Amino acid sequence: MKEEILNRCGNSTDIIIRTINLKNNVIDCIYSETLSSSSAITNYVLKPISELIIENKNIASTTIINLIKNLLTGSSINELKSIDEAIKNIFLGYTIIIINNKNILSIETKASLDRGINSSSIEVSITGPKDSFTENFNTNLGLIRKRIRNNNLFVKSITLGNESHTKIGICYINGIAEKSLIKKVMEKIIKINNDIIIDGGYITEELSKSTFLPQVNQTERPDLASFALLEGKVCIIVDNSPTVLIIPTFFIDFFHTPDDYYQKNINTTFTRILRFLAFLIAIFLPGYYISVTSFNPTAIPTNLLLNLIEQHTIVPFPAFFEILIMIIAFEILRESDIRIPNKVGSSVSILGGLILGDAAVSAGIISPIMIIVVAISSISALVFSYNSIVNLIRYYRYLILILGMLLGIYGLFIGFGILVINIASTTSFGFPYTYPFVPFIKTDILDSFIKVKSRQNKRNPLLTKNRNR
Amino acid sequence: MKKIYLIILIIFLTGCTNYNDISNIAVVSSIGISVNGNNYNVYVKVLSSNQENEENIYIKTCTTIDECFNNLSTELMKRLYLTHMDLLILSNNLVKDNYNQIFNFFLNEKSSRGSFTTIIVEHIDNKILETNTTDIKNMLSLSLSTNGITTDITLTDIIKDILNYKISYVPFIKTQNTINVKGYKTIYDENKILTNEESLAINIIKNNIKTFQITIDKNVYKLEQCYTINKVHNDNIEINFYCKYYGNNKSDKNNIENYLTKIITSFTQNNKNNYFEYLLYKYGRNNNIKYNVNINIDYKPNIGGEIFE
Repeated sequence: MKEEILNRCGNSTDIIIRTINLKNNVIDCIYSETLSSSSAITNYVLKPISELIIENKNIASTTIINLIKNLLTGSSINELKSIDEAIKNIFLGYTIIIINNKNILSIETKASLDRGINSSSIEVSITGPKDSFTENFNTNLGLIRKRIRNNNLFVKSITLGNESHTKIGICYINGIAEKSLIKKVMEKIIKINNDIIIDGGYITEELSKSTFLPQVNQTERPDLASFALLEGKVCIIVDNSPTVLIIPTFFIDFFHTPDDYYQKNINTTFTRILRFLAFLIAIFLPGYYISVTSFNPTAIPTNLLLNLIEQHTIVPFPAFFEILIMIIAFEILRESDIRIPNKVGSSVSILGGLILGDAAVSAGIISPIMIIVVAISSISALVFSYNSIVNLIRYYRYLILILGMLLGIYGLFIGFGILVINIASTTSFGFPYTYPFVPFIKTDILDSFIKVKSRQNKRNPLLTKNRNR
Repeated sequence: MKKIYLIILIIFLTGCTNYNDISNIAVVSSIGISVNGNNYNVYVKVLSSNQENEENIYIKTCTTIDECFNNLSTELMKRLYLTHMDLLILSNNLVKDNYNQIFNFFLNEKSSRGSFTTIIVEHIDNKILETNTTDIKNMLSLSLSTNGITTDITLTDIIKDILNYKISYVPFIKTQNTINVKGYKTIYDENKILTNEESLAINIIKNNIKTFQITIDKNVYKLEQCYTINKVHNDNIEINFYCKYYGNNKSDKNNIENYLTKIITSFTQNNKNNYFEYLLYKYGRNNNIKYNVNINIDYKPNIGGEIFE
């Protein structure tokens, strides 16, 4: 049996077999030295078995299995039926004990391969809690349970990924979350038939296939996941993923940040309006600039117009190509800034942003106003920490830019219409994306683009009105 | 599917006609038009994007205004862009046909908005074109608030007046050694330079005046919060002018009322082609229009006093 396991694992060097002869019985301990903890194996497996060796008793082969089961001190001991199960358990960090080449036991000896609980790096909060999810399923669940100490927080586990066997946890609060939503989420997740699920992004992609707009929100903050659960949403924890998925999500959710819940309403209102303006600026500014300078110079005050003409005369390209070059250059700069190590990151920013920008203006390739337009638009997009909304802004910026170049201000209105239609026609797991505006929910309008007052209970009326159905 | 392609094509081709890149336009600040025999002299002041050379004045002589603009456009290799234009200077020697051509040009020109100040000068030269437009506008508003003789009028106002009354009153400026505002000049059906009194009268009738001062027998009177209400009863036109006068002598009130009544009555008698006449003819009224002028000056004594230590 042990040879078969070894063969099926390709005689991998990290699969270790320790054979113990116990008079007339043979015990084989098989484990992965990378996934299992050597101290756990010593304490929970080898030490108890060594006591039997010291006693030097004759043990009948029929009773030894029960004896070992009782001796082992591990928290989770299971009897396995097949070699397939044994192999699966080895790669979950369990130690497999084969007794007399017949019976198979598995005992949990997982090693901790986590980086520990660190502070949130993307969704940064000034005043709120600092902890963030890690790559460990249990830690992530624990971080949520720590905030909602309630027996109604239900977790349903399933394993996805034909090859990766990734553990997925679907969390919701029984009695708050709508049953049809839970059912729909379960059905969609079970249908996922990927070979590999490395991260929550795989699930997000599978669940958001039907639309361009993000239907699943991702958060690395346990406090936000807890808020979502209390609202009646469903959270999905994916093993090895430092983010938790929140379903359903609404357009307004992308304008809310962790700090909104930890500061005065007036401050939150101000920053939310600012974020909404940033969203519009990020999408429309390059398109507006192109449409005004190419079709409607009437809209520009005389002195500014003369200034713009002067800047344009030195540039050999049409304004559209100029702005396209700048936007692509900024995208490359941003991408490289994300990928490169922190220590050289600042020097790349200085080189790319300041020196290259200045040199491009001096060389007459780009006009200074173009740098200002692209910089304001790109900085406005950086207000949003959710990657999905940043991507949405990016695609719409290109669309509006092309429409502005072809049709002027008229094109901008067409682009705005497309954006509104797209948002209004999207649903997230059957719930309208435009909540709380359509359907109009008066109480929640006060906590949307503005924050006048918070709900006493966090329950979302749209999500919980049919919770028993 | 063909319909959808057609709609998309139409939408996208719509933009092509309006394409107007800022690097291909020459921003016009002011235009001067005069006639010399059968030819037009067109003066165009183009704002320069180069800060060292702020503005350039180009002069073209052609048989039509459009031809002058086309020639200049070809010369500059840029499209003349009139949306930022703020002054139109017309010469004193233009007649009805010239005005028709000028109005047609500005109404047909896509980039023209018609919201620019329009003046008539005795003779167009570089001096008037080099003068800052804001200064000219300030002079016009100052002349309204001091002696009430002119007001800032746009081309749209002129065209509106001509369509309604066949006559328009355009500020007239003389440029000899200095630039002086000389009241109004009537254009279109009648070409006549009005006196200061007549110009004041038309401003009162048109309710243009809010505050102004008049000089009677070397005494200056300042009138404030003025307004006019005109009423038409059959062939009888009632002009009611109301003003407040802050002074020390109540008898001044009568002097002012008599003086203003005199100039308005004189204006209506001497200018048959005036503000009301065409409207009344248009609606079939007879020629015997009677004017009833009521000047109501509200005398307010100045409150005097002494400052004690």
